[in-house]
Amino acid sequence: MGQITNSFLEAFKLIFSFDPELIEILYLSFEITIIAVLISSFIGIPLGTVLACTRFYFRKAIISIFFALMGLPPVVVGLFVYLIFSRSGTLGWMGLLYSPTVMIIAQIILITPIICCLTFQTIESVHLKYREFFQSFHIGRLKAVKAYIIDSRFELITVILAGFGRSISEVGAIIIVGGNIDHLTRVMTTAIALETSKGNLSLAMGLGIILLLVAVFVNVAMIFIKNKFLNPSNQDL
Amino acid sequence: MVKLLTNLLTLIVIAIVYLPPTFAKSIIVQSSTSLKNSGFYQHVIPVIKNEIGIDLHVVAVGTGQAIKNALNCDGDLLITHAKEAELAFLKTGFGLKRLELMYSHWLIIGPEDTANSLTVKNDISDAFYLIFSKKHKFVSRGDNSGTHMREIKLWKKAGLNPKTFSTKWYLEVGSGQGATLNTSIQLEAFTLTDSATWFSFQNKGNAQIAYKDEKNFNVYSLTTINSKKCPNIKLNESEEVVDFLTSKRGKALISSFSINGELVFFPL
Repeated sequence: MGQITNSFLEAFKLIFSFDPELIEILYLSFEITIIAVLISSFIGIPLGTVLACTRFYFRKAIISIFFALMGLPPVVVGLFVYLIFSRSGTLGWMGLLYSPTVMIIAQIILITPIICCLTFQTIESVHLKYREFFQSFHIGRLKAVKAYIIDSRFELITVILAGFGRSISEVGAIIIVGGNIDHLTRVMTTAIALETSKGNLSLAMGLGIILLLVAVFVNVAMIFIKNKFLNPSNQDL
Repeated sequence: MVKLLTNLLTLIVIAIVYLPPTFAKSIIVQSSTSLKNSGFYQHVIPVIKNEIGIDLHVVAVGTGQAIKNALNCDGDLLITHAKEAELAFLKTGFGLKRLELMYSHWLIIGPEDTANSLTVKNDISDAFYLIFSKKHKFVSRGDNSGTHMREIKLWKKAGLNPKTFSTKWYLEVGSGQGATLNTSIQLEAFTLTDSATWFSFQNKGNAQIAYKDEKNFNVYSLTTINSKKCPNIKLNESEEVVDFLTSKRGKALISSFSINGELVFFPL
């Protein structure tokens, strides 16, 4: 019990000290996560939509593969990206290993399947509901897809938040490709891992509490945006 | 749709061009974890930056992993603590020059009530034999790190083969030093560690030093990497760092590092 109380104290001490190192780490965590989530959404949402609305050969196989990829162990992704971007790897000439860029790439590989699959599920249910309706009115496919996306924008925000949650809490992949270098690639989760390995458990928990608080803030902000600007009752379509 | 695609392209370009503000000159150091966890680098990096203008980007993994990463050309300098593995690395042609930098002490950590039972022994391998014969719980790193290699060597010196040990008392956790200590303390087991890690470790619980090896030291060495094997290596910068650390000024810097008032590293 004492340890847990201590970690809350530690968290509050850290928050109110405005420690520049903590701010740097937090900033990098969010920068990497937000860029990764944005890029993954730009890939995953269209891909999921296409998979939901079209019929083609191997479609089911592709869908199954993407669903399986949702459970990718981060360490495996980390190793894969490490082997590619290692100086002896295929893309080693880019010199990107141990940089925030390569951490973003690893995150994209991890969260794109999640965003893609959840989008697929959302859009498919709308598609099945309205397909015949749109067909009977001879409404073009592109127009129909646009309507699906507008109709399910609520769920899509949740999809993006799911990707955000996975990305911000991820440690296994980014510690391998980023190397947890001080002032360069250290983020909240890798800092927590480091403090744990130093036996500094209350500081590690304190950092965890701060990470949680900020993540809660982001989620609340998104829900606010959702309700304020995207709620069907506030807005005519 | 076109707008979406252009946005996407811009983002990808930003992500790829996106580089953090870095120091003009920097090298990647593949290092043993104990040096990072003890705060040693926080002590020396600012001084090195100040004196020779080179920033060290430290990737702390076990010695075995550090050497593997160096074999992939993913480091400019190695700071490790397993002599045999370092010599083998030199033999592959990837290593250029190996210099012994400093030493700390090997410690056996054990639970409070049994800690004193090992101190009477003459050699650390005798203490290992005693742990074996009493089948006292022992937590092994099991991760091919410098400490793990040392532990295997000590079992062998005691005439034992850890591969034949029962998992009832010999537990391989396959984790870093910190995680291993956390586990070992919770299980009230013995484990091998180094003085720098132990003095800086915060979660000691009731555990104590059960044995301190005064005969054989934990030697850290610097190994530079051959630019013929790895053309992208920053050899000049890493040699500058090696020259500085092994200079009089560097040695003074190393020996001035203390944890809670205890000196831990002694330059060679």
